[in-house]
Amino acid sequence: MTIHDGMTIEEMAEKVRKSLYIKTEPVIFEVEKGAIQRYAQYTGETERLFFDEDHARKGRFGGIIAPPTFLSWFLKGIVPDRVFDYDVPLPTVLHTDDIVEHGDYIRPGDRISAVGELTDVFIREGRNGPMLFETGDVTLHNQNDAFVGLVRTISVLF
Amino acid sequence: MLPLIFEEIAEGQDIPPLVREPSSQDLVKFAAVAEDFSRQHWDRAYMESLGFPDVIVHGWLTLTYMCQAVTAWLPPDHARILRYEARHKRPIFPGRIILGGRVARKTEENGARLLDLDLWAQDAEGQVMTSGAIRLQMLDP
Repeated sequence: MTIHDGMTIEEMAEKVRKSLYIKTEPVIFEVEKGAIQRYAQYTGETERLFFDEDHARKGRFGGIIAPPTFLSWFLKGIVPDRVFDYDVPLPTVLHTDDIVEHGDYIRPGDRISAVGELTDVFIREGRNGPMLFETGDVTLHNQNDAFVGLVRTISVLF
Repeated sequence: MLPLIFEEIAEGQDIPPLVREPSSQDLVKFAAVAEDFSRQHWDRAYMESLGFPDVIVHGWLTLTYMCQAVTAWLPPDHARILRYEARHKRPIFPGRIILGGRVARKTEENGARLLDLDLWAQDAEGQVMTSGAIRLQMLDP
């Protein structure tokens, strides 16, 4: 049994589990065209539908849409701060998995509501001992209450 | 380039690889646009003190590159991304990353034409650093 600062990993998991399924208050994000374009530019995007308004206006979307991983923009201030509990005596935190479900396209002028919650806490045995895993979900809806996305993040602490 | 049609896509087919070479400056840019200022992505001295040779590429930036490989093959006005996922197996450092994918499954469900791809991000030595998957729905012309 491994003990860090007087706590076993099972005790750490029990502490973190107290935060399970507690939804955060919604955080509202106003999506500006410039934010989408900057995201595209700074990630080396070449698909013009994500940054060239004149080009995008002529096509099926009628204007630019956000690149698929722009959904990560809505995690700030929520993940890890308000969803995960890293206040346990394990020195290393790594982000291991991202899982994203896509709904409606995100467009300039959208008003996105983001709600987070911790949805799973489990222990797995690693090469160097037990590791604590935390899963956090952030669910996104737009101003029409349409589902825009679910972003699931898994972190490991050891 | 002519748009791909569903009938032309075969299970087992590889998508064209995409190469990205993020520099530490690119990580600073991504940190700014994603507002992710974790030290592991910009503080080299800190990372060296932990035993790493360099700063680490953001997981979300790697995932962005993986999606770019897919949309370069099937643009968003031809196919809609329904879902994607990534497992970050090993830290990726600034330098050459090769993004690739393979059509794992091609199905039709309730009139929707769906493609499931396995994705990967490899380092310059060909080691898979991040593995992933994506599900796409072909759009009507």
